[in-house]
Parts: sequence; structure tokens; C-alpha cells
Amino acid sequence: MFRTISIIGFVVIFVGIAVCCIAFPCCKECGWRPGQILRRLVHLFTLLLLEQKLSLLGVFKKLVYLLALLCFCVLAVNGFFAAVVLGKSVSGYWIMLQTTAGGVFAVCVAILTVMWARRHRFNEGDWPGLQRILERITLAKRAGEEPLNPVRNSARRPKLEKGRISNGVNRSGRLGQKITFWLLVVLALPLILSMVSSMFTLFGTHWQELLLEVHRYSALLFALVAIVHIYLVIRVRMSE
Amino acid sequence: MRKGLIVTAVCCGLVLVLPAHTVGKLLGDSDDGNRTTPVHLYPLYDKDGIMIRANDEQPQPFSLRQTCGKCHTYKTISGGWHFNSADPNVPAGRPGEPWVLVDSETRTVIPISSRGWPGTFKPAEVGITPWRFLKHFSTHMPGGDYGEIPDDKDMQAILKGEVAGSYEINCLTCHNADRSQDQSDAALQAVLQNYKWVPTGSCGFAEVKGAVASLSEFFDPELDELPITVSYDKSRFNQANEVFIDIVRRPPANRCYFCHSTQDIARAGQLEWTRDEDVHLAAGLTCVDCHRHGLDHNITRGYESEASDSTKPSAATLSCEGCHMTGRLGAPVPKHPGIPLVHFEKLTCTACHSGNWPEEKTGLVRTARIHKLSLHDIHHVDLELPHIAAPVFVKGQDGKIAPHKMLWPAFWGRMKDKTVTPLMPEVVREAAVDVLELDVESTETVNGWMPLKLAQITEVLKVLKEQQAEQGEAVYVCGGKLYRITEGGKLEASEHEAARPYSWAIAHDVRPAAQSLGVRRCEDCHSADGPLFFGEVAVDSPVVSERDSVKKMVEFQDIDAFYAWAFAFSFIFRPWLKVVALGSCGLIGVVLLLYGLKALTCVVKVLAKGD
Repeated sequence: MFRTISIIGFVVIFVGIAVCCIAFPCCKECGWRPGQILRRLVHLFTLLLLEQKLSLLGVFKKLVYLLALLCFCVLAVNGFFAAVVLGKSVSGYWIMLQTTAGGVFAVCVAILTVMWARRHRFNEGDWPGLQRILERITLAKRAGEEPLNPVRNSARRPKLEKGRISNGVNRSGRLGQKITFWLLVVLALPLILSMVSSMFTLFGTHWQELLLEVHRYSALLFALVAIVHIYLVIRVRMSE
Repeated sequence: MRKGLIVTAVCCGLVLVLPAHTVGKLLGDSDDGNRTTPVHLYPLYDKDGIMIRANDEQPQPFSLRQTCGKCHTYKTISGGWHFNSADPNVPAGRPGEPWVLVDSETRTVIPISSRGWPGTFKPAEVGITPWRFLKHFSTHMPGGDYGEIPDDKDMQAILKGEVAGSYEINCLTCHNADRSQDQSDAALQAVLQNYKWVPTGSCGFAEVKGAVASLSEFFDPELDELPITVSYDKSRFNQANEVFIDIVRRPPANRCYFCHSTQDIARAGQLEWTRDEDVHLAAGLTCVDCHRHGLDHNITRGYESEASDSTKPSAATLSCEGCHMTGRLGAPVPKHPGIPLVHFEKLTCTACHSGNWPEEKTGLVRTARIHKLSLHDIHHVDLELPHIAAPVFVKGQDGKIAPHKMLWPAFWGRMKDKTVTPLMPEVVREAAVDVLELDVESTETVNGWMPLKLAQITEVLKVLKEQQAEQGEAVYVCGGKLYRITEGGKLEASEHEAARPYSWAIAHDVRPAAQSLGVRRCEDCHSADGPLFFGEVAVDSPVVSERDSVKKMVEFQDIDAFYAWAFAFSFIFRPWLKVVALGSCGLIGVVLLLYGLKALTCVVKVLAKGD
């Protein structure tokens, strides 16, 4: 069951991202010629580097972020490879790697939460975007009005005309980043707690099974949201 | 007309079929549903089916095949687990306790089992005939099996077999609840080769004098008077020459203990009373509450994976999980707080709950069957060999780690196509009496063995090489190694499948939850010197230079030793991990609360504007 859900989840997310990349390019120059792809890859790589203009705190933030990213990759690949590809639990040296990376990741997530929470708080500028998302989710329509669609409804999105795509991408991307950030923070709690609490002599076999399920599904959700978050971060950074 | 014919045919069929279902069933083969055990007051019959009377001038020993067979189908019972080892069609199941052929002089320890368990040798493979089998192992047999296989190859069997009679299933061994039923006497009769006198000699109301073993080889039962006499306690016979025997359906544990006891060497003698009994027995259960069977006596062994080896429905339900996961018979359903689920995939229940608590150096035990415990009086023996280490945590056939008893085979043999066949001690003794110094009286022992030097092994192998070389290369197996002479004439030791230790799982004594492994903390097992992984198991060998050889338990678990150590070592950091992870969660929680409250403030403000 978990295996199937995981596969479907990852396929949906990656297909969604691919569609988004093709349908809504993040900048005018973002084409699909080999040169442009190479340029994007180089740009992508430079995002990992520490910029000279960063302050000491900025360097620390970036290092923590990169460490969290590394741990996330290790945990996701290690955990989901065993669960999805091999169809069994992580064991042997891999469980030791998982435990070690998990501890570091928990610390990184906590630090990033503290440092980025203010930056990712919602403000009045996010309200229209949130409203649009809510309308899409609930399929609600205002009487006599077309739903606000930044792409289709060109009359309602003067700022998103050709040549100014990046501004739109930035705005929606940043909103998406905020949403995914808070989702990640919320999901981090059951993800970490489910594992840590199972190490105490509090929960019996039935609860251990439940905690394991909580851990697996929250890890899956966390991974999917984290992939979207990372994609949005890259998208926004590349559009700048 | 047609309908009438069909009805007639069906009726005829029923008439033919119904009796067929009931024909052949004896009085005691079925159960009428009343749980009372019938009173067993009945006449005794000898092997020819002749009734034994109190006033017989030359009373014969009673035969249980004849006596019990009047009401219970003997053939069905003889297919039971205790009596069917020689039947090649019976599934072997999980490896169990073997018979062990021990000869300290030739430094021989051979695990024997006709069930074909890996690591054991079938009696026929090593030249053990049914007669010899009885000679070696009958003291702790309930009869049947090899006791009833005719032996026309062994000269002793040919000469004495007819007088000794067949060693029939001794039903009284288990089912006689009378406290005067003496299995030690049964063992004595077996040692004396009085096989057909075994039930009589042990029943508590008869006395047997004389021994087949002491008869001359030229004894003729038709011409000579048999110097073996039976005298019954006449007061036990009623006027109808019936005898009451206190037969019970469910044998008391005391009956099972005669063959299924384990002695902890560390607590042998004076400290035996300090041992706790199995928690199930202490709670009032008996062995047969779990190890049940029907008329077929195909007993439920009760190990976890038995359901995959057996078609018996009880195999799945009469196991640890069968009772304890359902609360059957009031069995406490375990909570296992804080124990990660992976433990139940990798360990059997017995790993934490059975046998002695593992220690840094694995202890030694003696078992009733192998060391012939509980033989009293003149045939009392105090055997030290073979050395059986327990508990050794070994990965079993089902892939789970379980506590085992373990012994190291030692024998001279012939190797052909990498297959080693042991030689009987007599053959070696005859060939190498001088080299092994068997004619020199010596009491010197090393680790309980008569010491053996590498030079002696070389010499014996050279002697054996000269004799019957066509049967294969002469080799000696001991201490986990196979010794052979190279083409250059040097002694070479190497690892070999035949030299691997034989181990069988421990099921009892079961310890309660409060005394189980891990009850104190994870470090009971997961520490850099945790005995479950790093306990030392002495490699038992008569070779002087190998006397201090040990192996770590992890070597028997199919686990990388470094991984086991690294994983155990990581538990030092486990508390830190918990603190760090909980601290992180706390921090995240505080941030969420703070910003959640801020968000709430905004919402309240927005809602206030509406007013």
C-alpha cells in the first residue's frame, strides 16, 4: 500500500514539476536549446555556492540549508529506495546512516525554522494569491466573475505579460515557498516525534506499528512537499 | 422405476461406506466427549497375547503392544513423533536434539539423527545398526522406532535379538501417573538388553532379574533355560487377574523431564535448587498443554515456523504467538513497550525469553538424553563429554536469531568428493590403539578430553590412510577444523562443512517478561560487549594447541561483526540523539506556536474590521 502510494506521489510531483517547467517557464530565456539547458544547469550549480556578499549569519544559514538539503537527499534516497524499490525496511549499515542523518536533519530543520520563519510569514501581499488558491481548491466562483487566473485571464494580470513573466513567477513562487515552508515545519513534528517517541519505553507493539506508519506517511508527505519547495526556491532564484 | 433404482443404489452405498468409516477403530481410538480418563483396570498380556495371571508359575513380561493394543491402535500410535525418526517420509522440521555417539578414547563426538538434520549423520551412514542404536541410546528412549526394526546384519542382534525381544513402545513411560513408575529401571533394563522386559521392569509392580547382555553367545532359547525371571506384586491383581494402572491422558511434566531435562553445569549439584522453573510450569501448566497431539501421537513441537513444516492446524495455534497474541488460556498479551518492530522480524520469542541469561563466556549444560542423566544405582554415569554450550545465539533455518545449544563434532572419517563420513570408534581403536595410547592408563584430561597432539593426529591419519584407502581420504574433524595429510605428508587444518558445530534451538526454560533480555535497557544486547553478539563460545576440541580457542556469537548469526559492533557502539549516542531530536521538536513547536498566535492576531484584526 505504502509502496504504491509512494510511487504515485512521486510520479505526480515530478510530472507536475515537469509540466510546470514546460508550460510556465520561469524566465524569457528559459528555452530548451542545449545551450540554454547547460546555462541553467550551471546556474543551478552556482546556487549551491556561498556568495561573497553574504554576512557571517548568511553563510551560516546557507551552510545549514545545504546540510539540511544533503541530509534530506540521504534520508529520502535511503528510506524510499528500501521501501519503494526493495519493498522492505531500512536495515544494516543503512539504518545507521538513516539514524545519523536523521539526527542532523532534525537539528537543521529546527535552526532553519527559527531563522526563516520571519521571512516566510504571510503578509497582506499574499492575500490575493491565497484567495486564488482557496478558490481553486474549493472551485468557488464569485457571482458574475471569472475565477482569478493569472495565466489565462490576461485582462486581470497586466503585470504578467510577456517580458515581465519573472515578476509573476517570483510572486507566486514566493507564496508557494511560504506555504511549503510552513507545511514542512508542521510535517517535521510528526516525522521526528514518531521516531523519537518509539525509542522510549512508552509505546507497546501496537503503538510502535502506528508510529512507524505515521513516520512513513509523514516522511512521504514531507519529501513531496520538500521537492516542491526546493523546486520553487530554484524557480524563484533563477527568475531573479 | 429409475428413481427407485437410484435410491436403492444410494442406500446400498451408505450401508457400505458407513461401516467402513467405523471399522478398524478400537475402543480407545475415539473419544465420546467425556473428559474423564477411563479407569484402566485390565488384564495384562504377554507378547503372544496370552493373559498373565497372578498365579503363573513362570510369569512372562507383559507386552504393551498386546495389552494397550486391545483398545488403542498401536500402528497409528507408532507413527508419532517420538517413534517415527527412522521413517524417511516424516518431515524433519526444525533441527532438534540429536543422539550423540561419544567415545572419549578415540576423541569422538558424532551427532546422530535419522531425521536428516543438517550437521547430523544418519545411523546407517556411520554403520550403526538398529541393535547398536539401542545399545548406545536406548536408556532414554520411549521404545518403538529403532526398537522395533528387525536387525539381520548385526551378529549380536542375530544371536541375542530373539531373546531380548523387540523394544516396543513403552506407553507407561509417559502415561503411567503412578509415582512408582521408574524410568531409571526402564533404562537399566535397556542397558541389560532386556528390551521386552522394559515396561515390566519399570512399572512399579514387578521385578525383573537377569540380563540378556550377560548371556553366552551360544545361548539357545529353545534348549537352555532362560535365566531372566519376572515376579509380579500379586496384590495388584484382582480376582479376574486384572491390574489397575493409573493411566492418564495428559502425562505430568515429571514424565517428560526424564528425557527432556537440561542441567546447567554452573549450578550443578548443590545449587540446582536455585534454578527457576519454566514460567509456564510455575503457572500451573504442563508440557502437554502446549505439546498436544491426538491418537496419532504426532506431537506439536511448538516452534514458531512449525506451521510451514507441518499440516497440523495446531502447529500455528500452539506456539508462543498462538497463545500470547490472542490471550488464549489467559496468556498475557505482551506489550513490548519501546521495542522496535524489527526485533520481531529478526528474533524468535525465545531469544529474549528462554534459557539462561547470556553471559560474557557461554556456559555449559548437560542434557538428559545425551549425558544419560537420572540413571541411578549401579548404572549411574557421570559423563562430561560432549561439551554442550548454551545459550549460543544462532541464526536458525527460519532466518531468526534464537538461543541454541551447541556442540562441536569430533571424529575420524573418510572424505570422498568433499563428503566426510565418520568412522566408528571401534574401527579407529583397532587401527590406532598404540598411537592414541589407548593401552596406557592415564587420567590426564584437557578440557575434559584425553589430550590429543597434532603429531598423534598425523600418525593416526597415516595409519588410516594405509587401510582401505579406496573408501576415501582419512581425515579428522574437531574444533571446527578438518585435519588431513597433504601430498607432502604434512598435517593441514582447514574449515569444512562437516566440522561446523551442530546447534539446536532452546525452547525452555521460559523466563517471564520481568526477566527477559532488554527489560533493563537496550544495552542488555546493544553494547560493545553485549553477550548476545559478543559472548564467547569455547571451541571444544581435544587438540591441546586449540584448547583456548573461542568464537564470538556474532559469527553464528550471519551478521558482519564490525556492523554488530558499530551498531552496538552507536547506542552510546542514542540518549544524545533523543535529546537533540526532542529539543529540535520543541524549538519547532515554539516557532509554530508563536507564528500561529501571530496569524491568529491577524485573523482577529481582519474580522474586527468587518464590525
